[in-house]
Amino acid sequence: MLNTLRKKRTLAALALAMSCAATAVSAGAVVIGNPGINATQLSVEQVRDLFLAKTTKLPDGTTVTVIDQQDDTPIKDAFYTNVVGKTPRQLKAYWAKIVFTGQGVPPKSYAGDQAVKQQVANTPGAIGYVNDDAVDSTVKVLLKP
Amino acid sequence: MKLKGFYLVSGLLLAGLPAAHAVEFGAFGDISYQGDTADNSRNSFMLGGLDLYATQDIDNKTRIFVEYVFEDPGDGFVIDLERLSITRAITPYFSIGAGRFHTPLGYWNATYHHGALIQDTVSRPAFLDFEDGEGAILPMHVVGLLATGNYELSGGKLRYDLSIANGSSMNTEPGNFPPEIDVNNSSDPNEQKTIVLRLTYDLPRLPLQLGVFGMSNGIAESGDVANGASAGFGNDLVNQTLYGFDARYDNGHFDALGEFYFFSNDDKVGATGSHDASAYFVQVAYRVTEKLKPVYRYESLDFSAADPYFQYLGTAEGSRHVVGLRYDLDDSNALKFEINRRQPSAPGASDETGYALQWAFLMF
Repeated sequence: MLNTLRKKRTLAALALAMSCAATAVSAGAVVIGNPGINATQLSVEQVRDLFLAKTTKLPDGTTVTVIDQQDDTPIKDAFYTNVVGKTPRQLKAYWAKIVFTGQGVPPKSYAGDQAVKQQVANTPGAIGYVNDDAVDSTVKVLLKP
Repeated sequence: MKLKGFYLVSGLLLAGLPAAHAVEFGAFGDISYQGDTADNSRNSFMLGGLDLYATQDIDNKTRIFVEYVFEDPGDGFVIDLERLSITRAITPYFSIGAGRFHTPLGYWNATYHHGALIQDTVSRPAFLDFEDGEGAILPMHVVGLLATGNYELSGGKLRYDLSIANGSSMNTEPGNFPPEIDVNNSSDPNEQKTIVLRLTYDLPRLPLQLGVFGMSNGIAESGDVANGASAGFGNDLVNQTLYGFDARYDNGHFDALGEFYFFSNDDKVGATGSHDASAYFVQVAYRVTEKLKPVYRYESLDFSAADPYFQYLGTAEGSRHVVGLRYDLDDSNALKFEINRRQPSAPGASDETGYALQWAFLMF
């Protein structure tokens, strides 16, 4: 009985720790854009539609190029789960169907905050997401979830 | 120091490279349990095709796609190459690809093929059956070139697909009845090419896509006159002109899809002239919950009894009702149930009913 209780407490503590870790990553991820983008802020819905390729335009007509982080990284998993609303598995299934039916291709992915930031800074109309502490003046913050 | 600088520059260069050049693999599959009054209601399990696909961006503008299906049509497993293409994006408005593609006709054929999980019903509309299946009346694949492009137009998206490909053929020897439509993967029986054009427009503020399409196709003889074929090898049997339109509405809860095809089949062997035919389907579905979706589809095919094209193929005229229910267990597997009732137009022909329960999945 005691053993069972201990196991439950350990599991609960583990779950809490994992939840806090995910929240920390999510809270630290910000959506950045090329400084040439006119918009000063994007909504969660706009970000979701852009990262799922449901739209490629901002309301002012700017064509957006989405820059992604690599698969199986904490920042990508947390960003898609908490902002876009898809778990890593759901995201893979989503793109598999899109690619298979010829309706689109997933955004190009780059390794790490520096590479993503560099691509966003150098590509007109580009947006991406990085950890909060990686932001500098070469990009602008469009959403801080 | 020099080495450190080299490593630093190399590291920065590598970090700047997209990590998207890996080959991406996936597989669709399905297992069904089905029965049909046409088969004296012999209920049976059926392995659907195992569809393996792979894709890779070999550079920032060039993509390769390959799709194989392992299936048992009834006499042992075969491997069919369904799609094989290399496509280069020249500009946002123009991409050119070579290989074997889905024929860019209506929405259904452009979108749904062997990945059973993706379509809501177990079956395809009968008149859009694959060219190697029973009842097929159109080449669902083409081998040749495919140009595509997207334009922003009045806030919406205009897309074109233009294909020039090997012409179709069929072997009309009596011993080969009913013949399959051959899309000619490796050679063309004559110089006549198939040309297909599809234009679609996604409206800016409505979840609605409208499409128009047309195809010019000469169907050549691939059999031998000595064996009873209707014409000599490479001679045209029928010159076919096809045009149509489709509309797709999907607001996330309710979706509707309709496609209308109009044929003109010009007899090149007999003296029967030109024959008009038409085919259409309308499908509606409503997502009752996130996982549950009932579907209904009505299909119809009408042609003249004197039309040589449908005579060669042995096609039956008529209509079909399909009622289905889809239950998504998650994003990568779903259960589908379907009952369909076929109503042949031929005098004296009786209605037939079939059902199927399917478990479809996606691996990645």
